[in-house]
Amino acid sequence: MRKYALMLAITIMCLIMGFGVASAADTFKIGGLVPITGTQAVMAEDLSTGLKLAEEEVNAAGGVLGMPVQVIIEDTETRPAPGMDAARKLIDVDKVKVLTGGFSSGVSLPIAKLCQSKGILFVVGPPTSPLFADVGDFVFMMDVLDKFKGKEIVDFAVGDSGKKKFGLMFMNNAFGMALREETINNLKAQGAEVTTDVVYELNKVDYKAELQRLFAKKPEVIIGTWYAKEGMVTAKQAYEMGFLEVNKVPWYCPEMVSSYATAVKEIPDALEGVKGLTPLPPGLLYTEKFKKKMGRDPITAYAAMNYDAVIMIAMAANFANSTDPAKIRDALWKIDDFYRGQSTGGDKRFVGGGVQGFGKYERTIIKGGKIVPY
Amino acid sequence: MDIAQILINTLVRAAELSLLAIGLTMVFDILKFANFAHTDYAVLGALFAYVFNRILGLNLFLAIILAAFVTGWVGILIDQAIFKRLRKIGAKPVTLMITSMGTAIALRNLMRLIWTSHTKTYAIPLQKPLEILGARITPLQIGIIVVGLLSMIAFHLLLHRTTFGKALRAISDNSDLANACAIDSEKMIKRMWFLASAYGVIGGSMIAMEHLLYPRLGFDIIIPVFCATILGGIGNPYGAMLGALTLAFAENLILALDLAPLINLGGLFNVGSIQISTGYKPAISFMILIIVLLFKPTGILRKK
Repeated sequence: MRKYALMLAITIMCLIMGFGVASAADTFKIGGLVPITGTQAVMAEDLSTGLKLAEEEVNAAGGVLGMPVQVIIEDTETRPAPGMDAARKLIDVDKVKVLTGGFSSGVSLPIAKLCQSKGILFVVGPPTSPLFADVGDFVFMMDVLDKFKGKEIVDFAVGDSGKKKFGLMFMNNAFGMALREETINNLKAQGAEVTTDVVYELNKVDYKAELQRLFAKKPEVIIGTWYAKEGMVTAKQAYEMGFLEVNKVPWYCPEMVSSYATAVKEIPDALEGVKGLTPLPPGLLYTEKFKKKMGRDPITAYAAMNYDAVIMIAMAANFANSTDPAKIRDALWKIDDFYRGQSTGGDKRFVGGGVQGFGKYERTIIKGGKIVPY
Repeated sequence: MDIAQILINTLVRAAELSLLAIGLTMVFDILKFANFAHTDYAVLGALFAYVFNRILGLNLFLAIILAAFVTGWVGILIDQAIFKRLRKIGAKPVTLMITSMGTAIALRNLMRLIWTSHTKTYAIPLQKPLEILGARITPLQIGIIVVGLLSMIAFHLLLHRTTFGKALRAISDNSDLANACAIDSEKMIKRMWFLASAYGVIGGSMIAMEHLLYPRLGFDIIIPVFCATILGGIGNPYGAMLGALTLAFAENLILALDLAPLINLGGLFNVGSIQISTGYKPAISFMILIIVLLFKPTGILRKK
């Protein structure tokens, strides 16, 4: 009796394992990197929804080569080391051949290098550092580079304020440093002066010394960017120190949503009148689908970049008639001409280095606790 | 350089750090191990205060007192469940320290599970700053300095004017002798955990009030708290206060210093303004710590 019971158990186990293997082989897996925790966690639900909406849409349209698409989401904790752990888990354990998402350039850049070395395709979602362009041919980007944003924010700040003495405050990571460099270069090109150049560390609870330094040499305009947590602390402390008086010294931020996603909800009065750049709102198609699924408006347009990434990966795989990452990579260069996206204005054509060359940003202002067009 | 503003920023930061450092140093003084979970106890308490304040609608002051009381008991419970058992089997301080690291990770993730990792704020309206001697300070920051000062005076009185304080000092000096003198060490250790955790909650809540609250906050503040404790002389509560003050002053002053006059050697050179990059702010704590320990390896106030 025991012998039969054992045989039955082994048979059931084999059936289950066999079924598992079969179903894994018949699924096209895409790894989705999302900051579910950490300083950018406030946007995690939107970013995950962008990925999942695309997954549902692709599956409803027949999937990839007849297989359903599965987006496996892992948490980067908005920090480089956990981000790498998440990517390694997706590549080595889940055996994904294509990754997407990511939020911070500082977190996603080492992942891009890992993917390039392993021949894994990484279609980077919202990050914007120009350093991605040099990583290699397995890396593509869904947002425009910092150099576009650097020029755009300087044009906006110089033209709008009419002033020439600038104080800068950027974070010490790949994203912050690249944007800072572009901002400085563009300010110099416009004949403006950088009076103070503050570089701050993430994940600190006190930025008073940095703010003190920022205003020490009486700048006439501030340009700076933050992540949600740091944006909240800095805005609160700047307000309490009397530095956030935009009528006297206007503030311009190249990343309004990622900087003030928390602050604009918690301390809207402090930020009244702060101006900056925001990605163009997601397309109507995406927004309607998002609202139907979540029962609310999207808080960030960046999630639509994740959505576009999954759709483009699936289109490229079908176009290449293959799930081989090298073939999907080659196909991405072909399908980008006729794909009309839902993010950065819809034009998702890649230029040299796999970066986006035609995306647009919108000039916005914080009014009545909302980021609205300026 | 705005000295008045530097002093105000220093006092606020020192008030927050020293309340956390006191608890840490107390545990080291009595149990001879560095409790890496200390700042997480503080954040746990601050999150309890958030629940009492934002969800149950309690006055913030009362919410913090209640949270300190609850977290004091949590401190005792964790000791009874983990550290006391290890003490009983004669575990070395390094074992207790590593266990505290594990406790910290477990607590942090438990908090994340319950409260999510989203940032939280207490029900305090934005405050316009007041101007004192050209420096700006908010009413909340004045409150933080006053509460920090009163808490330290209360701690001093507790340590020197009560039987509990005397017993605690006796155990710290020689626990065997204290036991021989009929001092119930375990009972005193329980009270010590309560006090250390409760003080931590006041410090943690003050940081949360002035900045933000999130489950990982304990990890983000652990380095300055440990630096302040070691700088002052680990095991000495007054050292912890002095360490916090020194550290806060150094952080604020060094970032405001213009090194050009030093480099220019009285007009020999003509270099423009030179300031240490704010990106090096976290390194300042360690630099100060290393310099002090080079000359006084036991910290500023520790004698043995």
